[in-house]
Amino acid sequence: MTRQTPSTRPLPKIITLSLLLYRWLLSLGPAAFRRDYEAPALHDFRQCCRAAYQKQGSLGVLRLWPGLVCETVPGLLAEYWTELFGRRRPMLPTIRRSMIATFGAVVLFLFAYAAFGHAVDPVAPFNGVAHLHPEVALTHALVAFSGEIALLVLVLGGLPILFLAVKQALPRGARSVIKLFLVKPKQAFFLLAAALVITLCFLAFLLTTQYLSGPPPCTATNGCLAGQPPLLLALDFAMLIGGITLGVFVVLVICTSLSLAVLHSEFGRGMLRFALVPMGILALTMATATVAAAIWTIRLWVDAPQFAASGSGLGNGQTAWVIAIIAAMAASTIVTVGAFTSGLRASRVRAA
Amino acid sequence: MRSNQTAPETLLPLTPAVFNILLALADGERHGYSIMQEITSQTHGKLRIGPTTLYRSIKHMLEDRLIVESDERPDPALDDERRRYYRLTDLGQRVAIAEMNRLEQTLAIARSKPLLHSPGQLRTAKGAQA
Repeated sequence: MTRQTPSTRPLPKIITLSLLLYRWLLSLGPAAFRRDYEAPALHDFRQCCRAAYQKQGSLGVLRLWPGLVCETVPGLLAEYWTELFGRRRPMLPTIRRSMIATFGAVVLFLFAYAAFGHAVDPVAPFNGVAHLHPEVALTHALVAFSGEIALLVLVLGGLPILFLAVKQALPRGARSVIKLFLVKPKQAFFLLAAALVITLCFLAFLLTTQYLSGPPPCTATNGCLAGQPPLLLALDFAMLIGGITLGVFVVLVICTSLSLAVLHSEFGRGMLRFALVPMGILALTMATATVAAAIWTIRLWVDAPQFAASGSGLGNGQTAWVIAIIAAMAASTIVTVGAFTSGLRASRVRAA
Repeated sequence: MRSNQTAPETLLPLTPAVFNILLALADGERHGYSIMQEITSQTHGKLRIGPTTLYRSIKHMLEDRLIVESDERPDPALDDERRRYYRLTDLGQRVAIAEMNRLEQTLAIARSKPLLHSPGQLRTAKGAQA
C-alpha cells in the first residue's frame, strides 16, 4: 500500500475551490509575472490553505479569501503599471514623482489658460467692461501674467533637468538618448486610448453645452454640422474625432516621453532640490491665475450681467466653458501644490 | 557589479513587506511559504503578506539584487522540488542595516517630541498594544 504524502493526498473541496479562485485571479495579471511566479505563488497559497484548514476547517480557508482578493487585485494592477511605465528609480523617488506630476499638471493648466484666452477673444468688448470696472481688468491681467510666468518657469526649470538627463545618457551613445525618451508600443496604445476617451468627453461636453444653450442658427457659411447631408455629417464627425484624438495623442506622447526621461535618469540631490524652486513658483502662479480667473468670471457677471449673458460676452455656452476651464485650472493647481508640498516634505525628511 | 556600486541609501525607504522579507532572510535562506510564516511570527501576526505581495516583492528584490535565488536545497530528498529558496546578498544586508538606521533615526526624533511623553499618550499606546 502506498503511503500518501501531504502533496499527493486529495485536497478538501474548499481548498480546491480556493486554488481555482486564486489561479483565476492570477490569470488576470501580466503574462511575465504569471510565467515567473504563478507556480510558486499557487504552491504557497495551497500551503496557507492547508494550514488554515487544519486549524479551523473550511471556515478558516474561507477567511483567507477577502485578504487574498484585496491583496491580489491591487498587486496585479500595480504589476501592470510597472510593466507599462517601469519601476521608479531609487534616488529620491518622491521628488521625482512630484516633478512628473507637476509637469503633467502644468501642461493641463497651460491648455486651460490658452482656452481661457480664446474665450475672451476678441478682447475689444471685454476691454470696454474692464475700463468701467478696474477689478475686471486687474483679475484679467493677473490671469494673463500668471500664465506667462508659468510657461516661462516651466521652460527655465525643465530645460536644465532635461539637459542633465541627456548629458548622463550621451556617453552611452545616441541610442541611449533615444531610449531615454522612447515610448513603448504598449504605452503608445494606452495613450491613444486615453486620447480617444479625452476627445469623446470633450465632444460630449461641447454637444451638451451647445444643446443646453440652444444651437446657433445654421447658415451656408458658418460650417454648421446639422445642416449637412448624413454621410457628409458622419465623415465630418469622424474627421473631427480623428483630428482632435491625434492632437491630444501627440501632446500625451510628448508629455510621457519627457516624463519617462525624468523617470529613467539618476539625478543628484542638488538637482532634485533645485526642481523644488520652479515647482513652488508654478504652484504660486497657478493658484493666482485660478483664483483670478474665478474672480474675473464672477465680477463680469456681477458688474456687467447683460454683456456677460450676450453673445459678445459669455453667452451661448461660453459660461459653462469658462467654468470647465477654471475647474481644469483648479485641478492642475491642486496637483501641483500637492506635488510641491510632498516633494518639500520628502526633501526635509532626508535632510534630517 | 551593480550591487558593489549601489549605495544602500539610494534604495530607501523600503516598503514594510520588503524590509520584513530582508529580516526573514537574515537568519538564512528560506522558501516563499517559510518567509510568509517568519514574517507573521516576527511581527506577532501584525503583518501578514499574501503570496502575490510576496512574489511581487521578491521579483523587485531580485531586480535590485537584494536577494538571489539559491541553487542549494537543505535536503533535496525531503523537500518539494517546486520550492524556490532565496538568500540575502551583500547589498541586501547593507540595505537592511541602512533601513534599520533610518528607522532608528525616525524613532529618535519621535521620542524627542514632548507630545509623546504625556501619560495619556502612553496609556493609549499601551491600551492599543494590549
